[in-house]
Amino acid sequence: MRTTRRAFLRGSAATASVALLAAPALAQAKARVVVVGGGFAGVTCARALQRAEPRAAVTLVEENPNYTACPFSNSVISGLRDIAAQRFGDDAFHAEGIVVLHDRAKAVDPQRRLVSLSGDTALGYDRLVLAPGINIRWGALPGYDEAAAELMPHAWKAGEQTLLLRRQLEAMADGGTLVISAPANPFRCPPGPYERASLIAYYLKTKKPRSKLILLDAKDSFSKQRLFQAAWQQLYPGLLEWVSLSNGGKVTKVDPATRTLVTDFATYKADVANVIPPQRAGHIAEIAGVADQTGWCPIDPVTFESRLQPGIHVIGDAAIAGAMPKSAFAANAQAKVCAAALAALLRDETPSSPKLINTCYSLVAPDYGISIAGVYHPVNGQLTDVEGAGGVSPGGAPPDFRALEAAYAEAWFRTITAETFG
Amino acid sequence: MRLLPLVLPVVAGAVSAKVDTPAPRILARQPAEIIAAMQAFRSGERSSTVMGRIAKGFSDDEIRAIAIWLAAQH
Repeated sequence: MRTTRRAFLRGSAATASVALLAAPALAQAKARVVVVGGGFAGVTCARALQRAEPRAAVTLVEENPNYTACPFSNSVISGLRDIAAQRFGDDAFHAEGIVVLHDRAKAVDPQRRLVSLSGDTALGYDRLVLAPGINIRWGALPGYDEAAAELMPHAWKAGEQTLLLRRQLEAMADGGTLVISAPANPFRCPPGPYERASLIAYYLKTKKPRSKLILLDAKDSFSKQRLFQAAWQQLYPGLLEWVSLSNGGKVTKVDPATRTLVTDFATYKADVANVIPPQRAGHIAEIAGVADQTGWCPIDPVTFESRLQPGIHVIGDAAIAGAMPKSAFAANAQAKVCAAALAALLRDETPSSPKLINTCYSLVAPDYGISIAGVYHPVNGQLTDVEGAGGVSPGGAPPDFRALEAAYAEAWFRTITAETFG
Repeated sequence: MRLLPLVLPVVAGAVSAKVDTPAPRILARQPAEIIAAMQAFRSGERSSTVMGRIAKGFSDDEIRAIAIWLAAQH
């Protein structure tokens, strides 16, 4: 789907918008791009587009004035890090000519190309970028609803939930049982449940060594599995038990009042329960009609334009990005590709076929890091692994290699947050 | 080809001199230096944690485009 420049400008002139009024006035109508979502994907895209095409009027819509980052939030749960280190404001990119509206996108009209905000405000757009992250699929796991999350936190969106799980962990007596339940694919941050289990095991080993951690899994395999399991054997023997799908790990029901998790094989009574529930694309994706029956958003891998709604692009965790995992790194890479494609489309040029990179670090202990990397390109309309590239850290590497990757993990976080929010 | 370099800066702590990182900085280096490094990572001649796995995904032409773009960043 291509928009000719003439059609694009006509669209620009047809409807006035907050973005147009708030942006520096120019003689000619400016192309209006609205980005919804102030996380790694949305902010990166808005800033990259503003730099690539300074004549565009870019508006970023995000409800919260501060963003709390998920990567490294497992270190917050296990007491290794302050939540303040996860929080980022929007001061830097206010100054770049991007209009930032702290408001909620309530509805999208793809035909009239309008985004409705709270009150009567509506923004017209020529191109809309949705970067809404994930929503919890409440009710998909019987017994697990918003009230249950106050007793059995998911902590899969960083913030209060992260702190709640940390407080519960700190309040647990030595000798207690902590149960984590991990969902089936796909979900945000594929290695995340296993890093979390590792760092909680580290906390228990150092602070409450008579305790037990059980990781109930709806899968038989997971990201960096061999590396995680080798490290668990070495660092946390007898403390951390992984129960695979085949061994009855799939949780079918929870009872928050008694902190009980039920599988087909057994009932687990937890002192602290962390339920990582099934997920879907953020709510606005559903409202805009860009999510399919899976709950996620099919996209064109060159432009990240929705396959369901022309003119709307979806990036980050919400998108179905083929072989790419749902990670902050992937969101950042997709955002840059989407911004470059938007800049080309606004100039009536054909976007070039991209190559994207992902790297996901996980900490198994504070000085023990492992990674998985990939390089991706579009093949037959899907983002596909470039053959021969990517893969995981070597097995059996010496401690200094693991320590170096742990240091790189932290440096990666400082780098990506400086680039996105700084 | 123009798009390629856009995805790179996060890889090696290259984004800003202000970021504290043990990773070698790659901004504002000569293109030839970056090309040589990427090719050495790709062949395994230069050892690395993650760069070898990433460099294997890029052709000589792509590496050249990346190097030229990076060299122009400040």
